[in-house]
Amino acid sequence: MMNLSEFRSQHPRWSRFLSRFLRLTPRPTSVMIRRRAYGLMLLASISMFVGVLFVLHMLVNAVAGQPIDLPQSSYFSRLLLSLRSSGLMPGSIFLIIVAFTPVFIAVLAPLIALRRLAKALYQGSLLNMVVASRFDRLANTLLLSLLISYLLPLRPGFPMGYIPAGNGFYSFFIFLIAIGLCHTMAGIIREGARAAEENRQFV
Amino acid sequence: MPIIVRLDVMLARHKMKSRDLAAAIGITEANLSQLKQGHVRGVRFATLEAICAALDCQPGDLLEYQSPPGSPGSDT
Repeated sequence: MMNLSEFRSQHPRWSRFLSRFLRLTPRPTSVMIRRRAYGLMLLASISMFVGVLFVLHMLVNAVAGQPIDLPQSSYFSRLLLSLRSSGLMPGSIFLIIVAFTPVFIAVLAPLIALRRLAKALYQGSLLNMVVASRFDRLANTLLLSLLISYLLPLRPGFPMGYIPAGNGFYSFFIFLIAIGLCHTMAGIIREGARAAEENRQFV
Repeated sequence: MPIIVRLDVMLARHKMKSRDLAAAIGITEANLSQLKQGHVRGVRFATLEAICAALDCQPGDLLEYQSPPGSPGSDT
């Protein structure tokens, strides 16, 4: 049975052809990480775009005074009821924007943090303080989103807010695990960055 | 720093340029310059071996220890 190096030396053309499909020449780890980071950036950007469009759609409907089918327990419907009972116009753009601000923060903050983390992974070296701080920031924004979602329940069925929105303990613990993991990764990368810096000082 | 690097002396003795030595041993000129000035934390054995092979010398020719002033073993 021929081994890989013998096959390459005896059949160089087949080896080059097959290496594209069978990964006979393994890609460097840094290239794989860059490709995944690029995919993550793309995913975060698309999610941000979709989230912003959806929330803007709800905002425009609210300003236009069109009826929005919202459950009684949702934050926005409770705010509207309190505004109506106090005599303020529910169609006021300013008030509706104020009502939607926590929604924007809860939805966009983690996605922005994720995109910046992916960008840092894509651009530079992996073991540095910038990547560690971006992991910390992602964890903090996830925590902020979780707190907003539980203190101000979002509309169930809202695509982004649905995930943290008090839909049982499962999603709550998944979020807590993700926050813990991000903080742990930040600590690991900080240690790695210190070791890498020390290694650079050796010739 | 107590460890003195005599690389510049050895380079002058062999009439070799830093650029040529850096290329011969596989490190950058910047790293070699830092090594000459003693601004590095340490030297790998592989690098030391390559320098000794390139300059045909011993590690003792490149590195010298001078005890800090005031410590036992120093002249002052």
